[in-house]
Amino acid sequence: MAQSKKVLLINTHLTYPNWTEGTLNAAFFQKAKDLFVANNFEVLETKVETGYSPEEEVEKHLQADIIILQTPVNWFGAPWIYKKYVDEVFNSGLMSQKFLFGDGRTKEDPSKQYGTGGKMQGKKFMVCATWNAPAASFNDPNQVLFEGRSTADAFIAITSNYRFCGVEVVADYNCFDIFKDGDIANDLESYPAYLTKVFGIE
Amino acid sequence: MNQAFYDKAKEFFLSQNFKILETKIEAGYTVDEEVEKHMQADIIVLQTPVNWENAPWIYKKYVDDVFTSAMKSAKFLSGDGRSATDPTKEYGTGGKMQGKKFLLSATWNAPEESFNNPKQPLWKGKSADDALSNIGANYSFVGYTVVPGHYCYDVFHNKHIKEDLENYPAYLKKVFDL
Repeated sequence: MAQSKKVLLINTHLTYPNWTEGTLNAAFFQKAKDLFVANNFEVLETKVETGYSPEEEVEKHLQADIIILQTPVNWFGAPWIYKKYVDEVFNSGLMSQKFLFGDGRTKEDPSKQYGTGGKMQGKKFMVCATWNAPAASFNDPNQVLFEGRSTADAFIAITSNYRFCGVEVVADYNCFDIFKDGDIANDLESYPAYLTKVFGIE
Repeated sequence: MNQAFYDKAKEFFLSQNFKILETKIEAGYTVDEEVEKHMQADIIVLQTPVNWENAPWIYKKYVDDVFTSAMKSAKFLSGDGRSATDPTKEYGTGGKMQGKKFLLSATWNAPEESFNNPKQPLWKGKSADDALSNIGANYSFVGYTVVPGHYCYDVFHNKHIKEDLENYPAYLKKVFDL
């Protein structure tokens, strides 16, 4: 029997008491966990808000075949604790050369392109996000805020770190308009089937 | 180097008789004071290195602190722009900061040729403005005009940092119509 595959689930919700307690992000996180457990994955977990060791997080990334970031969108990005996590964990993975050799360019071969120095080929990364923004505000050049940008465009600052290290980025999953007209129940229910499809889980 | 660009901008705006308000995030800030500085300023310039394809985490903490405070007090915006009575009102039109301008000035390890070229593996044709669009989006959301960013690329190998610094005041003059 083949060795079981591993998935790293990162929940980076940040609690603002009496305003946002993290229930919705926890629900998506749990859906993903249940799906991967049911498919015999070993599940590694990180809840950024409760603390972590950068070195341990580097090791979890090295072990995982799939990494999923569960995040609310606060001010058009993940909460600040996530960028702190990235700065600490990716700096550690850079210094130790565990995530990458460098930025990919070499003195000897000028054709080597920027962003090809990663060591994490074969791994996959996905963002699952909860938004106040409605779905209609994306992919439409007439919309004033995103001016035609997609959710993948909105997450480029997050996904490009993984791409820089050689990880393949798969299409994000989004739960829109959570305070007004969103269909949260349906988005939750459809999530396992989405994971099965994008990761090719049998 | 970020200090050098910062000083260039400061010198330029002083020469144009602007009053300068300053914040050094690393040295600490008061959230309420930052909201008031934003209310007073006609122009906001963010000077930042790019660490892991974005501003350092202390900047996102600053944004979460300052913009959340100004949302709760309804000083930066009245809401997300949508209205229960008028469905034509779009998301992102609830800002109150119209007439103000925002500029991002960033220093990159990434070389200029890694942008705007679909054959490049990391950015796949995206521009540097696209890469940092999460920063400008907050300002757009509250009503600012976001002008095109000023970027100094490839800072660890670069031979034109000096030129980029020298050309920065002319860029400021142009984008802010001074």
